[in-house]
Amino acid sequence: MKYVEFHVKKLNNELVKLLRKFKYYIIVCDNVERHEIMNDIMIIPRITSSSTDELKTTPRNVVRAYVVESKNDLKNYPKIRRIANVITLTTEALIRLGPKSIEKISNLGLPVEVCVNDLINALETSKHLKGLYNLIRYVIINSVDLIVSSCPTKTSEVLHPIFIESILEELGLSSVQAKKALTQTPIKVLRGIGYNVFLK
Amino acid sequence: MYFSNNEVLTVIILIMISLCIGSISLILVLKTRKLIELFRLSLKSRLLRSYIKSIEMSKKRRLRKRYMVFELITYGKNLNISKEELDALIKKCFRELFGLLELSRSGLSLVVIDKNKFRGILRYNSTYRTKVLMALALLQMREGIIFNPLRTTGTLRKALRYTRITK
Repeated sequence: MKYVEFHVKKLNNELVKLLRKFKYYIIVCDNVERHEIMNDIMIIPRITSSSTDELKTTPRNVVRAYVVESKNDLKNYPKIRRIANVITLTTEALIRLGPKSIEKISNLGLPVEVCVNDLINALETSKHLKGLYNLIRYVIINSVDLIVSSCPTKTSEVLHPIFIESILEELGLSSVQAKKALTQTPIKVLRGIGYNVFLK
Repeated sequence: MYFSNNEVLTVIILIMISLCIGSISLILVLKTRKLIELFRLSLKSRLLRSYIKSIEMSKKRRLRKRYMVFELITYGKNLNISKEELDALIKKCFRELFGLLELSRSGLSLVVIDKNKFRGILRYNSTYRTKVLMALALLQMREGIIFNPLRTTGTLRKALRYTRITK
C-alpha cells in the first residue's frame, strides 16, 4: 500500500529520508516547482492559497489547494469548483464552520484536506469543534472525501501513517475510511491532475 | 331439475354463515396483525440484543495484552530521557486525551527501553490500541520524540526476541 503525504511545507533531505522510512511513496510539496523522483519517492508540486486568482495562474500539473478559514471563503462557490483540486481546512475552520458551510463543501464535490497539526491545535483550544464534527458526519456517510496529512516542516512533525489512522479512528471513522484518507483519495486527486500513480 | 324451498333456504343460510365467519375472521386478523408484528419485532430485537450482549461479555471476559515494539529516531544524538520519564510522558498525554479512568483500564506501561539500540516495548490492553497510538502521536508533536512503531506482538518473549534486548 502506498501512503501519500499530501502536504509538506518545506522539503529537505532529512524529511525525505524519514518519510521513506515511514513508507510514504508520494509527497506533495509546496516549495517544489517540478515533478521529480528522489530516493524512490515521487515528489509532486503543489500550491496552497486562499485566493482564486493565484490558483488560476498556476500550471496544470500542480496540485491546487484552496484554503478555507471561514464561511466567507466559500462565497466564490462556482469559481472554486472550477479551479481547485482540494479544499484545505485550517484550525479556525475546524472550530467555526457550521453545518451549512460543510454542506456547501460537500456539494462542491472536492476532497477536503485536514492537517494533523491543525487538528491537534484545534483540540488544544478545548473549544467545541463544530466544523470538525460536522465534517466527520459527512465523511462517515461518504458524502465528502477526506485527505489527512501531517503537514511537516521539520522531522519531529512527521507522523507514522498508523498514528494518523488511529487518530481518525478515534474521531469516529472506520478503519477502511481512515486508510482511504491516506491512500486512495489523494491518489485519486493526483490521477485526476494527470499523474500516473497507483495504489500498489 | 327443481330444488325444494327447504333446500334453497339451507343453501342461503350456509352462504350467510360463511360470509359472517369470513368477515369476523378478517376483522380479527386486522386487529391482531399489529400485535403479531410488534411481538415479532420485539422477539427479534431481544434476540439481537442478547446476542450483542453475549459478544460484549465475551470481549469483556478476556482483555488481551499487546506489546508494541517501537524505535526512537534521534539522528545520532544520545537519548537524554530515562525510562521513567518517557513512561510518565506517555501516560500524561494519554490522561490528557482520554482521562484517568481510561488510563487505568488501558494498562499502559513502558516495559523496557534500550538506550543503545533506541528501541523499547510498550504494553497495553488490545482494545486500547488506537488510543495509545493517538497518545504517542500527541507526544511526538509536543516533545519532538519521533516514534516508529515496528511490530505488535501478543507475548513479551516475542517482543524481546524482536528487539533483541534482554529485560
